[in-house]
Amino acid sequence: MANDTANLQYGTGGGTNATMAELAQRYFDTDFNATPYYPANAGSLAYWIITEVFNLPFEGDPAGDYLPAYDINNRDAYNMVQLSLAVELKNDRIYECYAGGDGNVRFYNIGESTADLGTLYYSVETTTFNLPCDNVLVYGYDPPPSRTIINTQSLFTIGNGEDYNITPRPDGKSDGPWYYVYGDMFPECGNFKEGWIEYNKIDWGDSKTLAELYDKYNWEELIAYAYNIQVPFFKGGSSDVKFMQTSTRIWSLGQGYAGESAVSYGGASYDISDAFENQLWITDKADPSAKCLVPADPTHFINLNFTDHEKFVGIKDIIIYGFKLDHIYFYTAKVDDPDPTPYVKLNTMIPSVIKLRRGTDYIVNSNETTGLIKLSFFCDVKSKYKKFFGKKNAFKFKIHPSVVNLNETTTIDPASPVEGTLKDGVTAANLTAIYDEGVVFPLNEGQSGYVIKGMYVLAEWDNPCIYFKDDRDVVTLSNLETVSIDVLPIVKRDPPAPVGHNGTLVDLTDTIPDDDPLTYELWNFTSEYQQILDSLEKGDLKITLPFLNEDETVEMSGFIKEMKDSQYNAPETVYVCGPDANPELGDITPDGSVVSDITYSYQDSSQYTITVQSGPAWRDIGSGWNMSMNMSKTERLTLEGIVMQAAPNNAEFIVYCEKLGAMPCLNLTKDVIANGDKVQVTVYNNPQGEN
Amino acid sequence: MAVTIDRVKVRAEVIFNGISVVTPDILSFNVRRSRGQASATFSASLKVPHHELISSTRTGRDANVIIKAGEGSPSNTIFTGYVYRISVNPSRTDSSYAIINISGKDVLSVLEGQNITRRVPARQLAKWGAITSILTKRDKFKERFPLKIRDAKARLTWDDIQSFDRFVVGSPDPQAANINSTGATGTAGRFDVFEEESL
Repeated sequence: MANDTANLQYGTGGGTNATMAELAQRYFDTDFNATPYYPANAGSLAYWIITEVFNLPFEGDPAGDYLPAYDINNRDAYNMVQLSLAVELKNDRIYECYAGGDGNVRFYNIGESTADLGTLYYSVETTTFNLPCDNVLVYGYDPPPSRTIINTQSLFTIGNGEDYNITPRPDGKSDGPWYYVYGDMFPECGNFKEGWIEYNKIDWGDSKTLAELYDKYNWEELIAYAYNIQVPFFKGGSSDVKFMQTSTRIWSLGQGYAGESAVSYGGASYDISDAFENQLWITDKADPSAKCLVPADPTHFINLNFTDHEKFVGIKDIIIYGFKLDHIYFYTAKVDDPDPTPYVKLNTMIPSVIKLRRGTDYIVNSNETTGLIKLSFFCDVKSKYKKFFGKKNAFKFKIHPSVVNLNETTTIDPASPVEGTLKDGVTAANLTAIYDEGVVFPLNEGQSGYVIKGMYVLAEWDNPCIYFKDDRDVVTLSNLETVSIDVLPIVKRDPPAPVGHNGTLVDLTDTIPDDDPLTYELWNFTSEYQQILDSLEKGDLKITLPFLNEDETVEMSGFIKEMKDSQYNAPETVYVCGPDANPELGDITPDGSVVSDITYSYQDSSQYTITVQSGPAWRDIGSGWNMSMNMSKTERLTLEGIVMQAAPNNAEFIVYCEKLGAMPCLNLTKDVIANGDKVQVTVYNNPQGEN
Repeated sequence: MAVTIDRVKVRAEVIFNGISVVTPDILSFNVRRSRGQASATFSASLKVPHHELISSTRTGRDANVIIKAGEGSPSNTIFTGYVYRISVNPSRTDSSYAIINISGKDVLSVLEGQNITRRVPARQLAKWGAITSILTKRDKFKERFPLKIRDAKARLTWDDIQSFDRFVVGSPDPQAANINSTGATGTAGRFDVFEEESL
């Protein structure tokens, strides 16, 4: 395929940049020009062929059209002259190209002049049987497909209102997007490194969604999406943005949302603000196998509401927001003291996120009756210590002295409380104080545990999300709310060639199926275009002139129909004229028809007559004109490249592609791309090829 | 009604390779031109002196036969073209003459068998690229090192990208505006096809 250099060399700007001699040296056609060749001015192509290519003498009106967009590649010269002149049909004129007796080529306007028949010796009427013409179909310019972005939608809201995006909705918000920031959900953690934006699922195959993006009756088709991604706080190398197919919903076991409880407890409904008080299944058997059993006691599970919803995918994790008691000692002043005091070793009382172990700390089952997911929590604790765990205000502990860094300024006074800080250096600790920080989830048979400030279920939810991670602690709600992502649907529009029929424009859109499975095509109510095609027969005309617009196809089909109708009853006469006659082809004869044939006959060194045959003005013109549509060949190349420059919209980039160098590229991925990223690029040589 | 014959002085001339043959040495000729037939055809039978036939010359593809005829003088040129076939026979009535039969077509016959090419030039910068995946993210470590890509012959500059119509992917059909007057940008003239876009 030609490269840029070749294009430039041969004059894309018009005019001939190489002489004929130069062209002849480079190419293989040395007589008349058959090389890529552009006329100096965009006049009549027929005139250009006659005068410039073949250098023939010309006289008269340089009629004919330039045939824009008609890609003439090694086509018959006279046929192209005819085609150029045929465009005059749209102006209700018939032009034909012949050489006159003097050797000058002329474009004859058929039916314009009156024939000079001189002395008329004889005239005899003849006839030709012509089939009637019911249909004249003229096809015009079939534009190549083009790609455009005609409608921009926000990715976050485009799925709102769809039937499949129904309750429950987090935080009482009726529509997406929904923002999740770790730092806000667990404020004391100060973790603003992660967050995500959940938005409603989009069914790209749903006709309701697609109808907003393109119009099939405008010959449009959805072929790809680009994304305009605006992440103002994005910094290459630090920020990480991922598009996920599913999102994580966090359900608190302490409270519901949107006025609905996220959980309910075995059979009865509780105020669950105290977490799973009475729900913890505590055995006094150090039998690990017990942990794998479904509790026999129906009260020992927690029903998770909404887990029967079609968007619920599964339980990802259960987390405790609290702090860990590293070691618990039950101090008793005497043997079998029924009321021991727990002393604990711990490093901090600042809550953090702690993930429970599935299968060890809890199991997930489904409730056969309700279909809901139910959770059961386990632990092993000696019977005498059971009362400390899983209950509100049950675990009142003292801090073990070994984990306290005493304040240096504190005066050691037996009468005064001993104060200091835990190993985190922040949490104040008082050795004499009794702490009641919340319900404790026991571990290791009660030798350690978690103090529960909150408890959450992390559920995988069938809504997509955009996940952000940034080590600079910038993933905040305010920052996430600045993120915008627009979907740029790339629509291919490929209208067919306009069709003129007997002076009217055929509506081709009624050939497009309606995509309604409940409808079907009736033979007696088929499309108008199909009916025309069905009725074509000999005598009708169907031609393609691939440079006409809609109006011109209509005009031309009407004119040709008129001419064909006149041909049906046109008189035909043979005139025998004397030497003084001077007829020209296409001149009007006395019977109203036009000259179609002239014979000059000189015999026996003396007899000289001129015989003129007249006939209808219309005669079938050339064919095969639908072969030279301007359709560049499509090449597709897959290359690697490195992003050199990125536009803020994350849609346009300059990529240094191997072999090609720097060139503009469009982002068809949903990834956020930054300078320096190595990417895979598909390069198309023109915009008209198939995707 | 009595039928009479009027005598008309018909004069004809056939100029063939520099030889002028006039009435009465023109035995016959026939010229025919028809709509739908690109070239007119002719045939003629001429009586030519031997010596003129031997010395006749022609140059290149110049038209080498002209036929004129008319009343009183050969005033009307009815054919100009080329001789494609010729046969020579002796004259049985005058040994200094030869009878030649010639036939041919008019000047448009040079188009026969000739093809032409006039390609629609592709518009520059019609190519476009689509990023289909990320192979390697540029991480923090690599970011310490400046991007050292230099391209002395960039196909496009950043300013070019800025000047793009943001809602057109790649290039539009270059001829649509000129062809389809109902198109969005259909105000351009039909003959602006080859004007360069200012990209």
